[in-house]
Amino acid sequence: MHDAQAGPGSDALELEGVGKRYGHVQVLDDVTLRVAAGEFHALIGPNGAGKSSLFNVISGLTPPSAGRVRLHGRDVTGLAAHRMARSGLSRSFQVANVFGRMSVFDNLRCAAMRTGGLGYQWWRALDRGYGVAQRARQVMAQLGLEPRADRQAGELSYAEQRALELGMVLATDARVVLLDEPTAGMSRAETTRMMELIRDTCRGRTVLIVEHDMQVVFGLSDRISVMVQGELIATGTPDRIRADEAVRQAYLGGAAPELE
Amino acid sequence: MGLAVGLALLALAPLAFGGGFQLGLMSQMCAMALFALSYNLLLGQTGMLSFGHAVYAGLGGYAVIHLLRAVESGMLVFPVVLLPVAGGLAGAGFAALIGYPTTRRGGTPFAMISLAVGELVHAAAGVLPEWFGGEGGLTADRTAGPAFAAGLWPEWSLGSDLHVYYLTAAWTVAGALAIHALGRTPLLKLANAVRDNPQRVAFIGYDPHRVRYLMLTMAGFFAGVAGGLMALNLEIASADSLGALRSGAVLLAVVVGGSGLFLGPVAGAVVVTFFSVALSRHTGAWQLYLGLVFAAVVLVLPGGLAGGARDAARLVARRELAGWLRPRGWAAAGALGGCAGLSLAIELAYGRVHGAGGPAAVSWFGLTLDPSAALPWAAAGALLAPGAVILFRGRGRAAASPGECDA
Repeated sequence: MHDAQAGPGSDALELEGVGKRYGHVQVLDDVTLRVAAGEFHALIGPNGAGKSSLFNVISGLTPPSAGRVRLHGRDVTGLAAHRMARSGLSRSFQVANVFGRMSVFDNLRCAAMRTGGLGYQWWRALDRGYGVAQRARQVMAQLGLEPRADRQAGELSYAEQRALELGMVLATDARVVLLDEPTAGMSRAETTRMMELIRDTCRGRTVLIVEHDMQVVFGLSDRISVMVQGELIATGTPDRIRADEAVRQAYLGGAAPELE
Repeated sequence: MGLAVGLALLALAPLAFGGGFQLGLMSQMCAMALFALSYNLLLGQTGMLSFGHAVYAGLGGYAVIHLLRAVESGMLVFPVVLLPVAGGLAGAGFAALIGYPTTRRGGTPFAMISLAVGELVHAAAGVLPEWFGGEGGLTADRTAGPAFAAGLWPEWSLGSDLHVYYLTAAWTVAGALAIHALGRTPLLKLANAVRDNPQRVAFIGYDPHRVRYLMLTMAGFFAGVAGGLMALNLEIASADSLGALRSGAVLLAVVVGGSGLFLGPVAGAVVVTFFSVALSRHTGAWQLYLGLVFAAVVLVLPGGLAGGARDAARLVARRELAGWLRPRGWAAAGALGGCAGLSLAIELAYGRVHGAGGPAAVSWFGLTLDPSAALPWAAAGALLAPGAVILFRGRGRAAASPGECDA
């Protein structure tokens, strides 16, 4: 396990002065953050604050303009997305992002292949060994997607697609998981169920999550970071964030009724 | 089960169609079917639209002809029946060589680059006549060496059309089985994933570029085998076999047949080859008919012929075919009449344009007609106009009926 290598309580994810600019627009500015192994860490902030841009930089979709990204102490700054994924980081997207014309089972098998030790083999069948199918079934069971195993992913309901996407993150066995608004567009009941799923299935992993539902965020997170206009203005336990004057001023509009 | 039926059909077909022309046609259909299957590894499986797939088949053909010439001159001893493998290696080799930069991006960039590579190789063939034979291409004698090994089955000379047909059919079946088996491998699952969502593939730890590259090499191999078979059939490799027209033909075959089902490209290859070989003997306007069939399939059957056949089979299985056909009976009759009128008009116009200087007689379904007379034109109009009216009115009615099929 990575945790054992890096020592207990060490940082799973470490951002040091990360910046990203597009032309004259500074999207991220000097973001420094340490997320401990096993921590459930929420990232909140108003729309356009740069939360998704930060996810894109961490997950290797776009390289940062400045700063370093470390995963379990290893410098991974600017690695391509697929190499980042192999280093043990996985992410989900704001919109459902699955393989639409493949079956649910095959979506999960693809996600589990890397963990099963499979590369780009064309000389052997996928359905023999490697524990890939077993892993895919296990994830389907966790998410309650078993009845949909043979359906095309594109035909699933929106909430089911979001669940499948979470499943693809889980099937990779990544130790660090980035979840970008996993409950966006969901009803109250669906949100509650999704958050329970996330809490149950991500236990033991390091989670960095963007979420707008404050009740959920303050209930589940070990720590919270607040991002405004590309900068982190506060990081701390839910209680400290609730009490933080800068957060109230900049983001929660002073009164912050939804936090009481 | 399906495999046994297919093998039996291929093995017994020469009993029914034993003529030299028919055997040649069937050999071409088989080779084209393998070519189309190789193309579908890109289009249907990986979502890569290529406008230059003929390059890999054409180079496979050249490899076979060059080796055959070496056998002919005594420089090389090689069983002729194994030459298509060399064609495949040539196709895969060139794909491996050129594919790494061209597959960096999928989608439109790849389509444009494939077009450029196709034109580049086609032009290079004209500039290097000592390799590509210039205008006339390179010819070789397929009976130059032993078919198998020296002394083994000497009666198999590959001189007869029947032997070449069986050779082509055997390689096509072997290639099709190999492509089918590929469908169960991790690489093909990843190819499907790249087709659906390349970005997501990166986030499960695989490089979409590498998947595209490997798939292009695979497709290049089977295209090379198919090109080698075509070259063995015709005993010639020419620059045309590398060109955009051939690339267009294989794209046409896969789209007409349907890229969503395994046998779709095979069906498309049979239809396209039939049109370009058999129909071209009867009418000079065969390309126009091919184009019309292509347009009709794209408009009416988005899943291609195979997709249409699957939907029809589902209707039969649910015993809903009669109910589906009834509101469309008039539309079908209209379509039939309209097609007859259209084909008559096309033939008359073609006869009129190409028969300049004399009263060219146009033959149409056994009738001999004069394209300068009024009566045949009136007949064409009489078939076409009501046919079109009934077709479009019938369509409207069918669409409005509540029993619409959702398959």
